[in-house]
Amino acid sequence: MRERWARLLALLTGAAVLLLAVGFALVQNRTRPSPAMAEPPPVVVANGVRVANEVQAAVAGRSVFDEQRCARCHSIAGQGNPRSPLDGVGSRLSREEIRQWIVADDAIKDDLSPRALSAKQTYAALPAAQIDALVDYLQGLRE
Amino acid sequence: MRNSPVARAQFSTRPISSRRSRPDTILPNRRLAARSAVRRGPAIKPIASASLWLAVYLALIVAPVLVLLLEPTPHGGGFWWDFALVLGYAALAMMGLQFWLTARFKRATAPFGIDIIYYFHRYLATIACLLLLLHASLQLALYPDAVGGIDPRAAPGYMTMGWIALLVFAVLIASSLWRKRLGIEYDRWRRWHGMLAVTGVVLGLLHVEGSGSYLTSPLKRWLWGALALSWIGLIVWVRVLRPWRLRQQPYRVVDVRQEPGRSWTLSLQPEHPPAFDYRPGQFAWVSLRASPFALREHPFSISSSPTRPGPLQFTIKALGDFTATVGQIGIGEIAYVDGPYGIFGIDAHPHATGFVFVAGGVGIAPIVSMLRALADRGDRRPLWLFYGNRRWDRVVFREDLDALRTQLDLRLVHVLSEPPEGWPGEHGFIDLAVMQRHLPTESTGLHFLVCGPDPMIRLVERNLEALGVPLRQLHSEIFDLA
Repeated sequence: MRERWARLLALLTGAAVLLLAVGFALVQNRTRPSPAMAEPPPVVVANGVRVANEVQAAVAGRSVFDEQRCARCHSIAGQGNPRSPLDGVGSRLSREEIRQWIVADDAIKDDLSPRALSAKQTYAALPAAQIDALVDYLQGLRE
Repeated sequence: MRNSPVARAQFSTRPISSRRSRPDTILPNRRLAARSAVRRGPAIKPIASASLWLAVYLALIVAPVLVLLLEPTPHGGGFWWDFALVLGYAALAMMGLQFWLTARFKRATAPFGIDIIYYFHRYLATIACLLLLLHASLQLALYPDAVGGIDPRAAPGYMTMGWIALLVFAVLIASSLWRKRLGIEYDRWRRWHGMLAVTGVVLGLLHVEGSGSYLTSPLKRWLWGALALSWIGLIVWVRVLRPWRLRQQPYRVVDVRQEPGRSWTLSLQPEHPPAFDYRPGQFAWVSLRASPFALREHPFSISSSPTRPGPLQFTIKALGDFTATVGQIGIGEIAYVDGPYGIFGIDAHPHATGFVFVAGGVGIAPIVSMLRALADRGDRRPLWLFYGNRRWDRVVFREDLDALRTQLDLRLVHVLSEPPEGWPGEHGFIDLAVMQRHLPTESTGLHFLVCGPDPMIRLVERNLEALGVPLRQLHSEIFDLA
């Protein structure tokens, strides 16, 4: 008989933990709706060399994003860590601000958690061309 | 044939010479008397104590998760992201809690019985492992870019540690649930079990520390660090401090008596008396030919009674790898005893109008302890003992039970599955029909105490339920802990 109680209590504990996780997730996300999954960034349709250069820069920037595994902490169009989505970052921040956030510049340092800070400081050592390409790519992410 | 006098004489087990009178001395055990007086108080006391410990248990599971909600909290990552992550934290806390469950804290385990705590430990660990699996699969399926794949060459170290932790836990659970089927020897299993458990939890903690999604403030990191330290601290307690304390109180083997049916009764005397107080029906973990640090201890029922002076006795049947060697133990050898544990026994039910004992094989050990205590206390309540064995020549305590019958209002029913020619008694298993033949139709107030192999316990419990015995009057001791 006591085995049945033990099994029941263990099952109830498991159910309680699941409920706790549901409650926690709801509380965590009460202020902001979850970011839309899998919505591709708008494709810029235009003509001319300038656009071609921009597209080229964006492609280069995206490969930096992938190489540096930015998706571990950031998501774009629902791909990657949804905690800090970068969708529309080009509309919210200027080029210079984006650069500051990438390399954990002193100007924004206080807004970063120690863990994020230590992760980002290594990016300051990247070649300038790569950072520029990344900034170009992120600038292109418009609302 | 059943009642033929010839057959009765043939199977009489009462040689005059072995008839025992009541022992001259009955231990006036004051501490024990005081303890049972408390137990006799209103029934609310054990319930209150059980509720208190259940609350502590729930707090230990819920609190580590609620701590994560302390400000500053990170941005929400969407319902499934946060759900999957917090599941990982909670399941790790459940795994850490296992160290509390198996640390054998007497006060915390007393209201439930430590045998059931071990059962609970097993169920809870299985569920925690499933939750961890859910955590990992949700993350991998929904956020493959954030997780970064399973390949350790591409993934960050803390993610690899998480995967290894999951694997370790899976091995831990499988090797425990199916230890016998996998043919893993008990002592070896136990050493590995401890090592794997520590490895799994430490890797899990490093995984949390590395990914650390919610541990966003020094306070939160400190609180989770304290939690982790409490788990590690318990390992130190269980593996170092308790064995060290056991070593301070060695026991010496003063007698090894061969019983029928490949069983032995070991008598142990403390080097520095007195031994611990115990209640009839309790058990202890015994280390023989091994230091308490070696973790080669085995749980055995105490067959002696606290009402009698003399050594602590354990009756052990050769059933497993270790028990087969008990007969080789010599007088004068050192033993270490961690006990007493368990709530199986008559003293937990002072209001019972009588007791029905059901024993299978060496499951008789704790019941003999109780019968001896009842006899010494002059208890006149009606008693029944259904005692199942394979063969008559393997019945342990045959003569002792006959002697006890003269001192108690005891109906002794031997049930043999391979009865000899002309056996006048019951044969087969202790089934419904056997019990109905011997028990009174009106059994209100009787408490049933069952001890034996698992299948027997299940069968007897089912039968007693069919007889309408309320579950709260039905008690069993789980033999097989892993």
